[in-house]
Amino acid sequence: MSGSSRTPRIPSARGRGGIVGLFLIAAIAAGCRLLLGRGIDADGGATTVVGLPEAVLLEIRVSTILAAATAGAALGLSGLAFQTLLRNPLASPWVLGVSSGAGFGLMLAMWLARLGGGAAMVGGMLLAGAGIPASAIGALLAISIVWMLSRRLGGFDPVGLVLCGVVTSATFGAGIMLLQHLVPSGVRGDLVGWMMGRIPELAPRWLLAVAGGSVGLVTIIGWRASSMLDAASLGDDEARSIGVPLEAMRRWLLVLGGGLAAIAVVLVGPIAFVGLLAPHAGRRLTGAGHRGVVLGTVLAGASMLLVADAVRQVVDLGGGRLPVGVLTALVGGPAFLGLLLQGRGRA
Amino acid sequence: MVVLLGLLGLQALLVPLIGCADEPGPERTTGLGIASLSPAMTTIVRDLGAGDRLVGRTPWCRGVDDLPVVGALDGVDAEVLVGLRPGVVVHQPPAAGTDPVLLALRERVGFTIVGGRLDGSDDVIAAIDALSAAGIGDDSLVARHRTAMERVRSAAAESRDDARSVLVLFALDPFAAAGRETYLDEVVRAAGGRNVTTRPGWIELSVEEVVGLHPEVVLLVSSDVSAVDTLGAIPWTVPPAVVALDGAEALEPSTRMPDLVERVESLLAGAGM
Repeated sequence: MSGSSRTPRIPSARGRGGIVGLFLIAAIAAGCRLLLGRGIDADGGATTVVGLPEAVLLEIRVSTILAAATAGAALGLSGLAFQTLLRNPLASPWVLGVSSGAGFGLMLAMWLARLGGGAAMVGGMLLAGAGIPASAIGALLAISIVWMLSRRLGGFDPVGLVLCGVVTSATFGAGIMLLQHLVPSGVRGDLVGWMMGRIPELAPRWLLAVAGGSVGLVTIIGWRASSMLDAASLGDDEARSIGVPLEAMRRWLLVLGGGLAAIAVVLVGPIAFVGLLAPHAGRRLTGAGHRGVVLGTVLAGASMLLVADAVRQVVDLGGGRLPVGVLTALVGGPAFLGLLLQGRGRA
Repeated sequence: MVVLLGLLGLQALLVPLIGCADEPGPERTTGLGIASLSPAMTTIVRDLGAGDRLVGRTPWCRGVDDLPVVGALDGVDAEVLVGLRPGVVVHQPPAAGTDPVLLALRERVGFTIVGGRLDGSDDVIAAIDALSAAGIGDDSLVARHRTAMERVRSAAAESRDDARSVLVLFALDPFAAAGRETYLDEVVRAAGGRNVTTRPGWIELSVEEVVGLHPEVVLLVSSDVSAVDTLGAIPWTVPPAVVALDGAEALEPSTRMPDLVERVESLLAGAGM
């Protein structure tokens, strides 16, 4: 890795400070979530409770914290991969159609399940565990299609990838609408619930282990390849001049970013803005070098989803807790706008 | 890297901790309370005389506004559900099947899950039986509602092909109709009408199709009174009688089905049937 000498092995003092700061924020957010929950008041109504709960509730909270932190980190890393790959600071994990693919997989399984016979059996298998196989296959199908289309277009250049992603997303979106047209109205509501995003309060252990392991693995890969990522950020010619294998790196970014997006969408659904904003928070607090940004993004993504989940425990507008996806969108929208305006101000 | 290893180590420590609760835990005391994750099931439970046992609801359940919300579109509120200590959770499973979180909570808390899809009188009768088997409901009310539901089922089965044609619309922009084999199709047949559509399920229709069906009566299931005016603007060959059925309950298969049949019967009679 010829670019290694250009980047210090250890993040700068600012980077280290940023990482420590983000780690503290993540730890505080996790601590708050551990202590914040929902209970029943003297009148029998639901209320926010503070404190360490009994064993069953403690297990629920620990599971929720792990799911939120892992999904947030996966979304952040995926967003960082796509922002680097596409050289676009406004790229998110969903830019290549992963969430549309997952949604299509779910809708297809729901439709199949109502057909009867062998189709219903296949649909039932795909819908096991609240649709984990269906959404995973749909998400991976979307990545595969983008991969194949990009290869047919001659490579993994940013513009071509975005175009492939837009086409894939739109096609799957059309497929979702077609299937929604074919299923009874009651089934449509199931997809709406999935689209709002949810942090599973008792996620399967294997899913948490796979997701956590994947996030850890990609973080290590990102850390090790940070010098190449730094060089690639400069431009194609500069990167090639110092020996960065640009095509291979882009293929890996697509696979790893897409894979993490798929894991996140299976775990928590298509939660918006975390994947877009976490890399920016990571960059802002740790500096421009990817060695710090990778870890900063992991911590920022985890913190964002942990904070969102903690906040929603205290926001009840009469219809129960606010769905986590609604909360991230409500906060993320203005934050995204702020980023855009800040970008214009600098230009 | 140290931080990363620390995070991974923490996850490795905590994931098995979750697993600990998979082991049979100490017996928990569950009460007689019923937590409902379905508005239709809430209605059935109340009609069976067990409304005072309800302890949790969805945001759309009627008549139980003072109860805490235990589940909405985005899933179950696990902590509230555990806090309520229900003996029974009633629900209508979504297309993806029973929520795995609910199943995991059942293992830990020990409540019974009762419910199934409610797509017609057969399903409502099955729900009444399941609730009764779970010790929910007053025996006389269970028998009364079961008999009433069986009467609806028989009446629907005896409907004649020469009965007057009814188009059941529940949305106008675009037109959405209750097709064959739906709950509202059964209601119309039990009320002495004949569903003019031939396709099964909930179907979308164009204006041309609506006109081409030549319904004698349009039964509009809507709380929007101005919707009747919209139907007046359609270039019908022979204008049908338009009757409006108000209320969200009309779209919810439950033990209110016999009342609904009576209301539709009276509306159709008023429309000259």
